[in-house]
Amino acid sequence: MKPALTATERALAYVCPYVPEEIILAAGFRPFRFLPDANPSDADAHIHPNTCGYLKSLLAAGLRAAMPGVDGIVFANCCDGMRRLHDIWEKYVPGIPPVFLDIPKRNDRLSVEYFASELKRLAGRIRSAHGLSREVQEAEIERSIRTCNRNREERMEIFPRWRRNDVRADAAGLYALGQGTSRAPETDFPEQADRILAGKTVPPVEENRKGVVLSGSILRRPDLLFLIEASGGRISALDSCLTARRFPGRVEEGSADPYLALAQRTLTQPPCPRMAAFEDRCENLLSLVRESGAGGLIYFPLKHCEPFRYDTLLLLERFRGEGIPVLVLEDEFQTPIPEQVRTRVQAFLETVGGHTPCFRP
Amino acid sequence: MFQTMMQAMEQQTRDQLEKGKNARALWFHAWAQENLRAYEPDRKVVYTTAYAFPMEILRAFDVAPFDFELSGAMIGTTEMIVPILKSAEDKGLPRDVCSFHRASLGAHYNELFPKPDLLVTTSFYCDGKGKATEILARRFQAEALLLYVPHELNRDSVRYVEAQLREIVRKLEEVTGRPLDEDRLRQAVRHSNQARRSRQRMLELLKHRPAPWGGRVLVSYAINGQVLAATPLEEEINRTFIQEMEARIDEGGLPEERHRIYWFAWIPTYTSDPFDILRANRASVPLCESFRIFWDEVDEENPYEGLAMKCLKNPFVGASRRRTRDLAAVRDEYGIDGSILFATPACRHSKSAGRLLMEAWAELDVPFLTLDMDICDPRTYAPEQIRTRLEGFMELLDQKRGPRPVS
Repeated sequence: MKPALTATERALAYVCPYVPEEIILAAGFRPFRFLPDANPSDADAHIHPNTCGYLKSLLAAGLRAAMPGVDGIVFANCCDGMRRLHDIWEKYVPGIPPVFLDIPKRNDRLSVEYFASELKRLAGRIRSAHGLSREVQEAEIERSIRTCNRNREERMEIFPRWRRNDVRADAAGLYALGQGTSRAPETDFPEQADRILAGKTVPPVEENRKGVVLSGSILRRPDLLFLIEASGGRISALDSCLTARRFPGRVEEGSADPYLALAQRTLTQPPCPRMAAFEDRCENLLSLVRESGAGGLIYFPLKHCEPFRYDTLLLLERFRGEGIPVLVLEDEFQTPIPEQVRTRVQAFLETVGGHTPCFRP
Repeated sequence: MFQTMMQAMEQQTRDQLEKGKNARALWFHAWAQENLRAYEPDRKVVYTTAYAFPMEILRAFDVAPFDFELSGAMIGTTEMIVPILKSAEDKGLPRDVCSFHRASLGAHYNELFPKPDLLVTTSFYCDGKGKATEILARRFQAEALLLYVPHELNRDSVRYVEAQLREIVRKLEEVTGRPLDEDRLRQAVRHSNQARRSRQRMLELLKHRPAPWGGRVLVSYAINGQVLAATPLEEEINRTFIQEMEARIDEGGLPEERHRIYWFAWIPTYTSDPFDILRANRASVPLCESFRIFWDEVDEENPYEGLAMKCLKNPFVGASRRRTRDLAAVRDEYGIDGSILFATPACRHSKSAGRLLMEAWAELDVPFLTLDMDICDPRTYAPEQIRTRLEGFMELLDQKRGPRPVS
């Protein structure tokens, strides 16, 4: 995966949606959400093998210099493993300097204020790591806030439309949209959306096909989406780090302190399990299920992803209490979907009802 | 069952203490009493993680702190642990989640732990601790407060932690219905500073060769002993350990040592024999990272800032290089010639730095071993595999040192 750059552009990769793209953009780089190829075992000599496949694949890409067009990387304190990955990267990966962003797990006033100060330091760290001649100006931050706001709003709009079946796209098209646009925030969104969605000939969803909400950390490939659709199901909503969770919330424009405005939006976006906000997260998921009329939830935490794994227990308890079926599928980040998963998905779709076999053209 | 276990421990250690004072009995006696307070009727109970949270704050209030993690681990010393772990797994907690937390949550599902009025913990050491706190809070319908301790020590982070501590104090005032007693907080800080000084003396004595103490009890005390932090008992136990060490040194006859090991991270709670294997190979563990002093004395008149600094200076906050700071001095002063990282599967914040720890020791020409073993789940314990690894490591240290003397 490579950023689409013009001759004069430089890209900074980042690894978590809690890293505000605005700072990277204002520092003169193109923000690039880096998704590595799955080669987790290539990193086993440098990080404990019992670490999540995403982290190990990131490290493997760095060690193999398989990050063309990337000038540097922003790590975030999103989990224990990521924190350690930054330390290891600093020592063993040459040529792609890492910078670190600390992110509070709370979103109260104190935490937002602290995070604003940390965002200022992030701008300074990017400047020193890349030898930039001058400090990032607040006017540049303001400009990037406006750009990113516009892009997020455009993207946000398409997800509810999709849930209402106004957009004739299959889930894989939407997945591509989420993934693809994360590379280029300033790209004209409608044009890109048209390109990705063009030519989709998925028939309208049958009335009796019950949908499912898919929620998890990172979907590296759309295989699971294909599987659900091929098994007669419908993706009612997609909640992952790379799709719907990234877009809601607008940064206040023209604020006296743009860093504070950025901190406010970032910490109050729909929470991922790294935040100490299970209630909010659970309510968001329940709303997604209710509003989309889905019959159940497929939860796909990455193996060894602590925050998601702990949440499994409470999610199961809460959703079952509401009478909503849940299927937990462990994602290894590596292997293609095994037959066992196919069987489980098919059985689950039968329990949520409306199973209608159909085949992708 | 846990309450009964604590009552039995309290009785057993009382009997031992009647025969004569010894540090270990004193420690477990106080530990049992501390936990039993949480079962007293009408007692306000605050769940916490004593090895991380600044306990001085809790001591200033009439509450019974209850360390749900260490209590779960204590169940790990009994045969009840597997059914307890299974109770949490049956509810949906995956097995790749830390067994410390599976034990605590399993104990909760079996209604073994008292009901909390409030839960407070820190963002360090690990993500799992905060998540387990969140789960318990929801289960008990009680409020959970997370003390977020930033990665970096700077003016903003000190202010941020300080402000959060003040918020926690306000919440404790609300829960107990009493305002903070400033004198009591000063007194708790004083106790904590005294215990820090006596720990310094203990660390000095541990430099003695052969080591007058160490191994499993040292690592266990470094973590578990924090349940008594900021009380006069901590100081008393430290003093008793000092007297025992001094007596052993004076009497002579300490077991001969061939190797001295620096221990990273934790120890298994269930019956296992890594320390027996080390002892059989004449290797002692005179120092572990969790017993080192990383913080400065806290100013009694300005406790919030001092306690914030204590949190921020913890080696498990921030970059991994904090854990390898001063290792050259450690090697020279303690005569360290080998190092072991206890790597429990889910402890990603600690074990994922294994390669960096290994390299730091390699630069000092000290061999390093990552010992993969679960902290609380005996189902994965493979004794012969552990023996093979430790004996292989001992052979390596022997070769480095030169042939053993022929007896």
